[in-house]
Amino acid sequence: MSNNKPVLTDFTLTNALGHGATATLSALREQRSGLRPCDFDTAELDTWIGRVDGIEEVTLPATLQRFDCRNNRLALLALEQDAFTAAIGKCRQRYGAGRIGVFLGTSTSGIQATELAYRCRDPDSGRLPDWFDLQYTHLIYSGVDFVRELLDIHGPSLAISTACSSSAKVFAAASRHMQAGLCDAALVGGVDSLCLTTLYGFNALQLVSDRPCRPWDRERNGISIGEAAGFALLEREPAGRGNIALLGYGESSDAHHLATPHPQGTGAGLAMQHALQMAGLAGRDIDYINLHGTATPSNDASENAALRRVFEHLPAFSSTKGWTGHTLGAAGITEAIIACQAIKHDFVPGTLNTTHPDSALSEGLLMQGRNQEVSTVLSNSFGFGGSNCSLIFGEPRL
Amino acid sequence: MIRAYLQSVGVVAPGLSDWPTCRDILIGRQDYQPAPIPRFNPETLPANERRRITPTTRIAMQAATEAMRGSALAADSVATVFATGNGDLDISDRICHALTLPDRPVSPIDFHNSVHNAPAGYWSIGNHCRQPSTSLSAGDASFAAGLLEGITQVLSDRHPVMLVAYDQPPPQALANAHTSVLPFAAALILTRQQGENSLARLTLVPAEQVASSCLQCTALEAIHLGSPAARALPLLELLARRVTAQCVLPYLDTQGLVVEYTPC
Repeated sequence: MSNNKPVLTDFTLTNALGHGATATLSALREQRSGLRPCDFDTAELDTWIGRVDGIEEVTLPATLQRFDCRNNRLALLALEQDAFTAAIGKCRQRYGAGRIGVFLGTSTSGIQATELAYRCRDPDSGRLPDWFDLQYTHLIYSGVDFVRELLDIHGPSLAISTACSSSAKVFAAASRHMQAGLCDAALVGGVDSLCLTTLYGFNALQLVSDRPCRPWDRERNGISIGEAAGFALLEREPAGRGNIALLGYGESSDAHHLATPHPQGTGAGLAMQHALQMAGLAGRDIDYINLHGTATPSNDASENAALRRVFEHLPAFSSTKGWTGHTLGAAGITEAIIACQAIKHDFVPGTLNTTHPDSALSEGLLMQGRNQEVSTVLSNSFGFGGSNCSLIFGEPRL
Repeated sequence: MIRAYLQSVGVVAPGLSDWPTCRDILIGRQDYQPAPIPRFNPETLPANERRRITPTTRIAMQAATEAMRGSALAADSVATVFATGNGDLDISDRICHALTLPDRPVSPIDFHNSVHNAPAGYWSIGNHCRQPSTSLSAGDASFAAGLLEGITQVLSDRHPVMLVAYDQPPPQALANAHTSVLPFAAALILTRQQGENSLARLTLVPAEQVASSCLQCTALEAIHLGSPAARALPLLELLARRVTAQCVLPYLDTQGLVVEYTPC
């Protein structure tokens, strides 16, 4: 079965830790956070954010100006790293533009363009400024539309927007489209950029911390919001070439509350179980778990309850939100790529900013990163609306 | 080419209160009379959740409820795919307006309803459904993309899927040439195997350079072209007419999604 699993042949990642995937790996090794006191736009909030430097200077190609917004600039910035566009070019030659699908996750797309437009409304008529283009910036499909045009790929495509599980679920959708023969390869990923909507929205729900987020800590008091863009190329390749495969995915719904996870983590547990089942693995086969680990009191407690149900003995586990912040719709791809780096480099990251792990939660949270053999990683992403997705990555077994 | 079976449908739009009404209009048994959509109250939701849902979530849940009642499946056993072209722009309008005011008073309820999977979340809560759920968009191709996602799930993950396509016209400030002009929602329950309750077999093939189908029932053409979700109507017209035929739904770029419809 493993031979038929989609393989990640290339990836790239840009977030507060820097441009390109290596910046993330180095920061994870060096215990260096990307968080800073909030200095985004005109926000006046006592919180920390994971902002990507240089987005403001990015210029979209002249023919694609209609897509100009923070989210699509971040997408372009990320695509230009790690020779990723060259890899896409090779892929296009190999399969043809129409045989490569595009599956991207986002929670807020380019809503920041709409925020800016509302500040410039005509006071009498209420009209928005002429430069504003809802279709190509704000709407959820904007990012996919932009990336397809930019990279000239035209296979089956869609944008998934299920809050913080968005860019984990794209792996499942892409995998199914490939299995159905609708495409031979897929560009998967996620892009979510800072905006006042999420900063003030999470603040209104009292879910943002006034300090850098502290996942699993007894004093944890909320998230630090970040922005990120990550992309991976999925292909069907024979196993055994040092590639990493998507061994399994599991999706579920909480059926509990729009903005609070199920206290016993029932839905989260189902997602992990389904992923293990599809991978044909037991809990003991997992070497490392990258937690959703947002550092809200309720998320970490719920995730912990789910882990206890699924795992008799927990492998190494940690949350990397203290480095990147919670990148919302881009969290799934961010942590999927961190999972692949863990496998590639036999390194498991720790948990930054956390000093006193909550004794009510499972023991054994990795505080410091360490080198260890890693061949299989489980990555969790859980979102508002009770949308859960767990992914398992690993070296394909022959 | 991929294939699945259609088990049940639900529809809501102005003057189309449910599938039987829509079907009778599509086959000319009844004249179309535009009328506002009466406010739907999903009985399955707890009272406090029911108060919080927006008009966008309301029409999605109405179509879903009708499709589920018409099927032989338990609501908690069916995975869901929610597809929309526009999302819930009423909420974006309120949030972006609040952000221009002193102290930026974003409503917590607006914010938690602003996630694009809010209709999916409310559906899962109301029906105690822990099955997988995906919320997606593909612009004007959203219905076709939802149908492909739904059927690939039915095939790969081997569970029944309900596709719910929905769109509401935006508030005036956000309206443009691309946004919806009429509200519409449709729900289709899809299964892998043919069963006693199957209505039709659907075979899907994306194709280059094919023109999207028009409706034979010209009275509903304004609704059909009035939102990405309503591009479902040519398929529903085949269901109403119960004939073996094909229709082309708008897909990406110059592509169309050819749907071969075979009644069971």
